[in-house]
Amino acid sequence: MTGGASSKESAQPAPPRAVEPPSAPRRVTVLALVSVLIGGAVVAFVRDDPHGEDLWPFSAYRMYSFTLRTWRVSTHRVFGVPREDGRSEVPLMGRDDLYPIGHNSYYFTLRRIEQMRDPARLEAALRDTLSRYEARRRAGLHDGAPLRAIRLYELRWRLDPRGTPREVPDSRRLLLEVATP
Amino acid sequence: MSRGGFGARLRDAWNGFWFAPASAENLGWCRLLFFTGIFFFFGARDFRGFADVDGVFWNPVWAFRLLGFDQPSRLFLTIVQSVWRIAVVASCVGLFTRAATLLAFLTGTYLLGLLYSFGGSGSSTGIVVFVLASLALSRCGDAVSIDRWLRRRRGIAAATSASRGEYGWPVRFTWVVMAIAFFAAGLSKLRHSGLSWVSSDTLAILLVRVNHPLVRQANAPMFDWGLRLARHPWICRGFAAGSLAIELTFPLALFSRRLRPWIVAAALAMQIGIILVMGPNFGPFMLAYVFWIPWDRVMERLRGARAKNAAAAVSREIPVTSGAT
Repeated sequence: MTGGASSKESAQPAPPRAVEPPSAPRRVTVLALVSVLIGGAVVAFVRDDPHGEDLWPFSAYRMYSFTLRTWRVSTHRVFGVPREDGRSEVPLMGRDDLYPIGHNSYYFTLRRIEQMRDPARLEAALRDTLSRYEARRRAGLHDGAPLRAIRLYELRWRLDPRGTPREVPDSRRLLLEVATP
Repeated sequence: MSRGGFGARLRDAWNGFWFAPASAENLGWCRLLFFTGIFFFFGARDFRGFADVDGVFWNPVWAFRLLGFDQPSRLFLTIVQSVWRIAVVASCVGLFTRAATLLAFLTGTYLLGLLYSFGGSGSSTGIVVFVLASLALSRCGDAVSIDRWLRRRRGIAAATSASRGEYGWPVRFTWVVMAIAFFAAGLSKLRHSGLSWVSSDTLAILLVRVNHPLVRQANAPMFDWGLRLARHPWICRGFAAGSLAIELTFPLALFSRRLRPWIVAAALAMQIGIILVMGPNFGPFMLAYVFWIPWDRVMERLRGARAKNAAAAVSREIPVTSGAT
C-alpha cells in the first residue's frame, strides 16, 4: 500500500495549481446525500415516536432523554426454570440466552409485543425463546442449564442510591409461563 | 446586497465547506481505519441466526417495509453475509475499492437494518450507514490502497492536485452526520425534559439503574463508579449540564477550527465516560471519530521523525568509522 506522493515527488513540489471544484455530477451527488441526511433527520425528530421506534438509519436520539423523577422502577424480565431444579430460576439476560437478538433489543421487542395485548403472540415469542435456547444448548453452543420452562415476570424495585445493587426485586408478578412440550 | 451576490456567496461558502482541497492520503487512512473498525465490530458477527427466529419478533424497518422485504432465509443471509465480509476487507485494504465500498454499503445497510428489524433500540449503527454511503460515492481508494499500488505499477499517474476537491467532502459529511447526532440528542433532552434533565436526579437514578443487573437496558458498565457518583447529586447535575452543553454545541466544531479539537475531544471523553459507567455500546458510532484526525499530517510527522532518526543514526556512526580508519 502506498501513501500520497512518493519521496521523489515530495522533494520536487509541483508548481501550485488552482484547485478545480469537482464535476457537476459529483456536486449534485453530495447535495443529494446532504439533503437526504438533513431531511431524514428533521423528519425523524419531528415524528419522534414515543414508543421508541426510530426511522432507522435516521434517529431522534432520544436515548436517556426523559426525566426520571422516582427511584422506583418496574421491568419485565424472562427467567428460565431449570429442568433439574424446578424451584430455582435463572434470568435470561446474556448474549447466549437470547441469541441472535441482543439483550437490549430482545426486551425492547418483547415490550412491543406485550403492548399489542395479544396473548397468543406473547406466548409464541416466549416459546420461540425457549426453543432457540434449548436448540443451541443441545448443539453445544452454550453451556447454560437445561430448561423445562420460561417465565415472564414484572419486577418492581425501590432503588437506593446508597445501597449495593441487588438481584432480588422488592416484588414480582408472574405474567406468563411457557413450558417445553 | 444584490440577490445574485448573496447567491454567489452562498454557493462559494457551500463549495468552500464541502470541496476544500484535501489530500487523497487523509481520506485513504480514514477509509482504512474505519473499515478496520467495522471488521472488528461486525466481521465475526453471524447474522444467519435471524433466519430461525419466530416471525413474531420481526418488525421490519420502514425501508424494508417499503421495499417489501420479508424475513430472510438462512441461504440468503449466508450469501449476503459472505459478500459483506469480503467487501469490508477489500474496502479496508483498498482493492477494487469502488466496487467493494459500494457492496459494503448495500450489504452493510441490509444487515444493520436486519439487526434493527428485530428490536431496534440503539442509534449507534445509523451513522455507519451514512459513512458507508459517502465512502461508496467517493474516491477513497485513490491513496493508501492496493488499487493505488497497482496503478503505479502499471505506470498510471496519481490523481492530480486539481482533483483534491474530491477528497474532503466524505470527511466533512461524516462530521455533519456526527454533529446532527449530537445536536439531536441534546435537543431531544430539552424537548422531552427541558432543563429538569439537568436539575433533577435523572442522571443519578440512571447511574444506579445501570448497576442493577436485572434493571439495566444495555450492557453492564465496566466499572461501578456510577454508584459512587450517584451519592453526590450536584456532581451528577454538573455532568448532566456538561453533557447537554457538549451535545448542543457540537455543530460549532464544523465551522470553528479553534474550537474543533476541544469540542470533539470533549464529546469523545463524554462517550468513553458513558461506556465506562453506564455500559451502552457506542463502538460503531465512535469509529466516526477517525474522520476528525488529519492523518496525512500525522503520517508526514511520523515520516519526518523517522527520517530525522535515520539521519541522526548515520551521523552517530560517522565519527566511529572515521576514528577507526
